[in-house]
Amino acid sequence: MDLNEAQAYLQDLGHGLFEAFQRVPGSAVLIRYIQSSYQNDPIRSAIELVLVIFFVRYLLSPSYPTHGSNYIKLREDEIDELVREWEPEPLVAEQTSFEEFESEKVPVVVGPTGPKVKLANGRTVTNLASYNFYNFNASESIKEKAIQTLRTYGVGPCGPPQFYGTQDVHMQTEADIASFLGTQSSIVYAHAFSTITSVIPCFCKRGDVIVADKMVNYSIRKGLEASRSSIRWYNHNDMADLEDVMKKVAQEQAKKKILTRRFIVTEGLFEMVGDCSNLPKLVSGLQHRLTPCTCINGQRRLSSRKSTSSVSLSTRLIRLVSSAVMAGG
Amino acid sequence: MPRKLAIPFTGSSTTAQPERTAERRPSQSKGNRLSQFFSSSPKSKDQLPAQQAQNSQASSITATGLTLPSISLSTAMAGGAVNDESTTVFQPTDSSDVALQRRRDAQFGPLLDASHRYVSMHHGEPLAAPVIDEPPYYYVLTTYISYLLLLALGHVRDFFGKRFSKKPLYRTLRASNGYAPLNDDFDSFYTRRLKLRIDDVFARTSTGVPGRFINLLDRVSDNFNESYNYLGTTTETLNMSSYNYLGFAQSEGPCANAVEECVRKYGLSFCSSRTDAGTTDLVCEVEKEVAAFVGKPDAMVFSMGFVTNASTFPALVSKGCLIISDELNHASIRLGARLSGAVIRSFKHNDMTDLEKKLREAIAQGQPRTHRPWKKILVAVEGLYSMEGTMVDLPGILNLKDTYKFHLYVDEAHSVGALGPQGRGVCDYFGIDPSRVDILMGTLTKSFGANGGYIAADKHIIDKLRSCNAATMLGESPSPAVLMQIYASLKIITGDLVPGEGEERLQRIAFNSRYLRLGLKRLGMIVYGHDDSPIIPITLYNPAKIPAFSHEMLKRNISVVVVGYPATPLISSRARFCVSAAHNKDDLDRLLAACDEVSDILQLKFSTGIAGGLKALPDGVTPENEAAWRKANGLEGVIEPPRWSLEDVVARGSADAKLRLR
Repeated sequence: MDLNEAQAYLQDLGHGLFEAFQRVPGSAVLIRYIQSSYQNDPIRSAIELVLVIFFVRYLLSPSYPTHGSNYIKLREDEIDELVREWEPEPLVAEQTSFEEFESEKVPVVVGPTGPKVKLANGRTVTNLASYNFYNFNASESIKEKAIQTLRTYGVGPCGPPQFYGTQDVHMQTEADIASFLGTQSSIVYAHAFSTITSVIPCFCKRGDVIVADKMVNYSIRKGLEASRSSIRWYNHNDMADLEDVMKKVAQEQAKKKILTRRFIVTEGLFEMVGDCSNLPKLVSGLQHRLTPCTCINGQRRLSSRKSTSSVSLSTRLIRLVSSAVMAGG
Repeated sequence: MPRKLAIPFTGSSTTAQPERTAERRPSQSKGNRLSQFFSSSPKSKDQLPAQQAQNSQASSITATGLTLPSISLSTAMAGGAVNDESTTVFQPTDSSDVALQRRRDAQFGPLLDASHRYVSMHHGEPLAAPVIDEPPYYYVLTTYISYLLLLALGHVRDFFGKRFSKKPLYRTLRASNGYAPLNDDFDSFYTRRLKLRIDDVFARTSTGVPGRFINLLDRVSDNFNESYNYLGTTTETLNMSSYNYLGFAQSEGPCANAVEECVRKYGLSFCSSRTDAGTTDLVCEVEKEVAAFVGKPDAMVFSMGFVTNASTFPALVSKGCLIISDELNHASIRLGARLSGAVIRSFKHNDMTDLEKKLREAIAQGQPRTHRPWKKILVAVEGLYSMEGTMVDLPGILNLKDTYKFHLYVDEAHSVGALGPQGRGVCDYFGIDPSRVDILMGTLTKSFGANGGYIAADKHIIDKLRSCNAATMLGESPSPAVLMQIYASLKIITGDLVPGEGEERLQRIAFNSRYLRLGLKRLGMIVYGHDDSPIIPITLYNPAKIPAFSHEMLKRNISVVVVGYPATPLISSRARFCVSAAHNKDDLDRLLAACDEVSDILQLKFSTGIAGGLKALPDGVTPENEAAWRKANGLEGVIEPPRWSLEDVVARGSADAKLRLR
């Protein structure tokens, strides 16, 4: 009884489907075409149908292997066991004794910073560790200006620059810095350390060549790493070596059809060594068209941290955007 | 550590006293207490009548009006002269009390009714992913066609421009003098050809405090958004765009007073990195306070939120480790992960099944090629996703964590302060012990109105991070003003300073979020995100609607954030409202009215109702017996598209927002 019902239902369904198909415009033509082209040979039709299904499946499957070539298929219970057995390392390693020693020795300053600072242990010491070159930190007029700014703008801008976080003070600061440095425009970042790290990847992309001084500071290194460009190093402040490296780069690049971007990255005043980069030589090298390239010069110490924050908001510790990008020589 | 930090607060002696005596109370009763307290000051006496004249509802005034004079009083104590001076920078005409009160209200709106509050917390049921509604195919199709057209036009213009044009726009795209082009035309195509067309809706310049209202500088462009001419005038708009969750963007009040004191004492900078000479009593105290707030033994603060992530991942993981990251994680997490040298894999947004699959595969297969077991696996998620408005399924992740023994990194950039009954982020919201999460990261830019970020974790982790995190060792220490803003706003949230105000702020943002979300859904728009999230994105789809929506809202004096590809998937470009505790119901009603009008013009009411905003149930039917009622009336599975009238939305919203949203 049930079987009969099911059969009747199926027949009805098939009939319904067929009728629905026939109602589609052009269906009769399609049926006639298939019947004539396959000469009423059901086996051939079936084989070709299988081929079509296989083709569709092939099209839909991902074009790359979903697992690496050495993927090992494991049973679920094996995976469970592996999960149980796996013992991860602690999130951070133990502090080494050197690190412990160092962190104990970090001085804790009480009160404002200045040429003389008071430490938490009660001693007053001469401060040779801050970049407070002009002692603007103690300037009353700058403080007044900062308080005025606070009373007008509050402390935080509460948003990224692209979404209403740009304020007229930012634009004013940027204009002031640009005119101070004699550039067309400038951009201010909230964090000095990360400025160069984020500026380098903006210009240098995968496939570009960066020739960098061996002594550039940590944040420049991180920027180079983040850029995914190929990095060449030259000996610190050694212009002859730079020339050698550039010549090699030029030779390598000459074989390629596409002209790649080339950058020199160096620092204005080296944080780790304390000497200046030989800017006149660098720029004249560029002008001699030795190898055309763009020079990113991390002018970190040329502008003191305090002098910039003095012209701007108290709240955003601003150091000058450390890139004077001189495009086109 | 010498506790000299109390000085800025004890200096304005008014605030110190109530913090000892009072338990946390709702601001209603606190208002009365404080009013007696402040009546000694002549200034606050003058202000009360002025405000009463402004508002007619007597009951609500005691709640809000008295919270606000507390701000003004201490302002007067701390440095009235400077305050007046800075006021003149902004509003040179009027310094009467009415104008002062108006200025205060423009930064932090008064609460209109004591019932406009809600406690943001999770009620125990498993966190369901929000239903993603889709518009009719017509909109999807036209969106694709629009993008095709834009791309085609852009390429045609590039093709001819690069060959024939002398414009400076093309100079950096061409090789010249042996220099390769500075920009790849492919890399910069999006910026030049899509974004530049609508660039005037981005980076609108503002002035003054980005509080409840924000003042935009009026500008026009006569060269198709390449540069702007500023007209010298400003427009005050309702601020639905700043991440000012708890309304701490204020230039007056206890926070600003403390900051002023602090600037006078400490100057503007510590001029050094933490490991050199930048570790001060102030920063140590703030770190302690942040750690106590988020419920971790120790914390460290950084001067920029982005850097916090970017520098911490390399300090935690390295080669041989695996980072499994949510596919919608912020760029800072991606950069940090990339710099760390660890292998990075991603899982589908908030999808615990996919995460489990990825974890099982990772542990079973080990490292690629060598099959050695991973040293450690770090799962990185965000508490609240800024483009989706979704919350992380923290209970789900913690269940997996027990089995799979991975380490968990939660980025609470948006959630700290904005979620939870005490504003302590997602852990607080779900009622989870923070010790179950290994690392809690967050920013101080958003809820606290300051700047920077923090990492909170166990003591040994923080100790190690202090000695190997690059941004601590080389990056500058946060500036004193920022630290004091963090300190003061934390104290207000916890109720140690101006008791009751922090609670009011927390409950106001929770109410506002739910109210606005429900209202938008009822109007018929597609709204993304979880119910309690203060980030409320509505979808626009067609690219031309991105600038159109922004312009229409600006015409109605409302500033909103609009985002499109690549911050979102190609077709679902959206507008985002960031709710703040500084808004009150009137502001949200104004926004809803504007949305109602604009969405009629731009055809944005295309929701089907599956994601909420359904018609009200008839009398006698409660949400509990709704299923039975539907069955009895043959309405199972029948979902009507919600198209409420604005009057109904406003009238019923505040009561319904506190129930389960439907």
